[in-house]
Amino acid sequence: MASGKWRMASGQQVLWVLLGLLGLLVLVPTAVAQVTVHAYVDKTTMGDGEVLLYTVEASGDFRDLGPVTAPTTRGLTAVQTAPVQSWDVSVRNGQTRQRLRLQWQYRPLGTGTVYLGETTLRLDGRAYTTSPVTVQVVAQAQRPSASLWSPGPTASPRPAFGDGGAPNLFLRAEPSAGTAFLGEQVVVDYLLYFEAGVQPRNSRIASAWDADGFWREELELDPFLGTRTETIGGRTFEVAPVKRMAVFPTRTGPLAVDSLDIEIDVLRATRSGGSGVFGSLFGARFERETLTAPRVTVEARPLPPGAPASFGGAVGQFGLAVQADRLEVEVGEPVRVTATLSGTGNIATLEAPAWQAPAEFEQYPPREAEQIARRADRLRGEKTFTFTLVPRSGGTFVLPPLVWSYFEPQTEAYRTLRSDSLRLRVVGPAAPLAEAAPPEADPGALVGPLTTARWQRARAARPVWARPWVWAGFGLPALALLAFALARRLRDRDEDSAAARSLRAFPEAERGLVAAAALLGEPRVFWAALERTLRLFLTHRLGAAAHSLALPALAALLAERSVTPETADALARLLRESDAAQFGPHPQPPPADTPARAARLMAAVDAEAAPVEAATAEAV
Amino acid sequence: MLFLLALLLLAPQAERAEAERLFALGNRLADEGDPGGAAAAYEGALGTGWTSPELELNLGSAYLRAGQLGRAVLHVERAQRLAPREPAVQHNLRLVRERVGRAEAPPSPAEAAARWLSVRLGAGEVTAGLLVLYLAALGLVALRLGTRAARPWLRRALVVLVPLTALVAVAAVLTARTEAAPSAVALAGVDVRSAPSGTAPVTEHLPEGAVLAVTERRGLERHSLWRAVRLSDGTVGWAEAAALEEI
Repeated sequence: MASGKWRMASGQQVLWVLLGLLGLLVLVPTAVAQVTVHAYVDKTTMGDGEVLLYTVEASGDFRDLGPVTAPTTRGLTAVQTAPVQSWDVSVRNGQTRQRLRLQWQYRPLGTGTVYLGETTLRLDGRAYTTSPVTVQVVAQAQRPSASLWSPGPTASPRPAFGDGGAPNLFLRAEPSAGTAFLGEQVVVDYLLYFEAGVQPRNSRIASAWDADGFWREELELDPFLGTRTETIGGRTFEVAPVKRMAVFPTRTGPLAVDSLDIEIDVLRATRSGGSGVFGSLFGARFERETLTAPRVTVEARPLPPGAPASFGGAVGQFGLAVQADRLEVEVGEPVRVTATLSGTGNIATLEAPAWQAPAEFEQYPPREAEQIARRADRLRGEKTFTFTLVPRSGGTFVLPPLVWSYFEPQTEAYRTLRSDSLRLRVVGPAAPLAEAAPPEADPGALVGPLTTARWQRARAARPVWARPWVWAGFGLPALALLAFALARRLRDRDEDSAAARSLRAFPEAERGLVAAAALLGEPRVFWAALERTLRLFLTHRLGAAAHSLALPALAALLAERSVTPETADALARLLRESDAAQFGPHPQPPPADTPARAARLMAAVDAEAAPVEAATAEAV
Repeated sequence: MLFLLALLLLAPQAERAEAERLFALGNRLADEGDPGGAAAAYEGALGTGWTSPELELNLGSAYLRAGQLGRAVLHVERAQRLAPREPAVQHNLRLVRERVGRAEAPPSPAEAAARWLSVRLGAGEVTAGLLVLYLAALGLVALRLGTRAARPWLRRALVVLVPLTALVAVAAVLTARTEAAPSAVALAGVDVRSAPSGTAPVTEHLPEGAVLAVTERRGLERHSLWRAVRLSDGTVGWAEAAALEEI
């Protein structure tokens, strides 16, 4: 029964199967003609040092592919912007079937869940959208070592492993990225793979090595760097780096890093276990082998547009620090302002920030110095630019900030670094601003902002005449001149007296009075000189020999010459005093005004006496 | 007492340091394309009681970039008062005056000469020159008074020096009057009226940034509501004080 039922059931099933097959024969061509699009990744869990391959695959009968846009991502950065395309075309049962594969590579920006959004393809004008994809990113140390082996499309191809001729020692080059921006650092590691039982030593480069289109810098390997283990095709290899280079694309397009030959001494176990010819040692011997790492290519992309004005071509990650060796100097003393750029990238080609000190400073071209750390996984270091400034004017100056830009490949964005302003005090005389000259190139542009200021207390502007120095400058000299003029006038008035005029008319009498005045301390001598001067004057003025006349005769002569009795009496009194002083027993010191008294008398006589006839005067 | 004395001595330096800080901040904001922020920083620097031609000039530029033409003219004019011979000040002053677009009546020859002297030398320098000539003339006069002997060269020198001194004295007076003449800037469009009253007829409308001479303040000096003004073409009138800012 059971068997009959089975047979009956089996017959029905066969019938259904036949019907199904018939249906399939009808439906399959239709299904093949339909288009399917789906997206997938090469791994759903990856290390943070690995590359993720994202593929969008379209199958079916289609002719035209519209514009393709990369999916939106979160936590990933694209290794290349344009996808790699591959087409397969086949014809089956008169139906054309195509398979289109678009592939992007991404690097994770960190650990955690990363996300690739929907991708839409337009095939023959119809839109097909894929589902989003998430990938778990873990620390690289948590990933199996075999994953490190997964070569990217740009790494050296690994040797073909078969059951028989698999090499147990080989060399390959592994660039850190398959695509790079112009100037971006790519580290190429040359890795030696060897199985247990193979002991390499004493490697050396055996061929010329070149990387046309790259700026090259050799990195030093840490001598204490150990090996790591990788399992490839079920075989376990030790992996040891033998050379590390940092290359920087200097032009765009596909750039090749040449193959590299390395000679290496290898200690291999002999099958016989006996001693070899040379170098055998306990059943093993050294053999010199030459290994070649095939060339690798790097696709160099141009930098995106929108570079700031302060961008000079630096690519990497950098920091800027600026300091001055002093902040207070005297005029003429040099000041050194040092700008230090440090970070990861091509240190040797970094250009000095374009920087201009205020016009009051003489500025010399910067002196450059660089320090490069080569014993690292990437080329890093610092470059210093020392600007020497010599102030030519006193004052407080604000040195403008240094502004410098670079391109950061990780974020594909330009970054601008700006230092703080430095305030510098210069001791010495201030000079007019030279920077204040208007721009000749653009006469319609505003000048400024000016960076140095000549500070003063804000106060209401005073007109010139409200300033004290104006009044003092004009008034005091005028007063001084006035005083001088007055003094002069007073003196002249004295000098213009009759006595003075008389004396000036008779220079001998004037000199005689001056000489007599000098003898006031010797009464007899004084009176003798005074009387002699007086009589000499009378002789000249009256035209008679007055020097020998007795007082009565002199009085008669004076009266004859119309001299008033008062003047004549005064003259007589003076002459009697003179006689008494000269010939008396106890001469008294003469009064100090005696010479002036004599002068006044002479002036009076000169004024009152009638003019003397010329002949009489000449006779005298 | 010593503490108070130290405080009194150090306070101005602290204010100046603050002015310098705000000046640098204003420059940075101006470089970053923020003229409003720059103007605020510069105004803060002026608020410390310190000033400089550069500060006024930068403030004027910031206001101009912020679209406040009246205040731009005001501060560039103030910069010109502080540094009349600075080429940068003259350059920016020409630009802001061009923006105002108001045609100025040509000055009289005496005014033109006074302005030329004011820009090229300044009233202070002309006065200093006059003082030198004046002292030289006084010296020669004193020498003439102090000697009786006839000295022909002295007479000839006085003949040259005295008229020259008089000429420079006239120039000094004109220059000083030009520089000291109170003037104001219209911070917005302002009507000039025939009398100090809002109902008086409008004789002229001045644009923002126009510069006019202030001849009289009606009322309680600075608190007065009207200013008697004279335009460059000699027109006189009255303008509301609130619309003007004295330079």
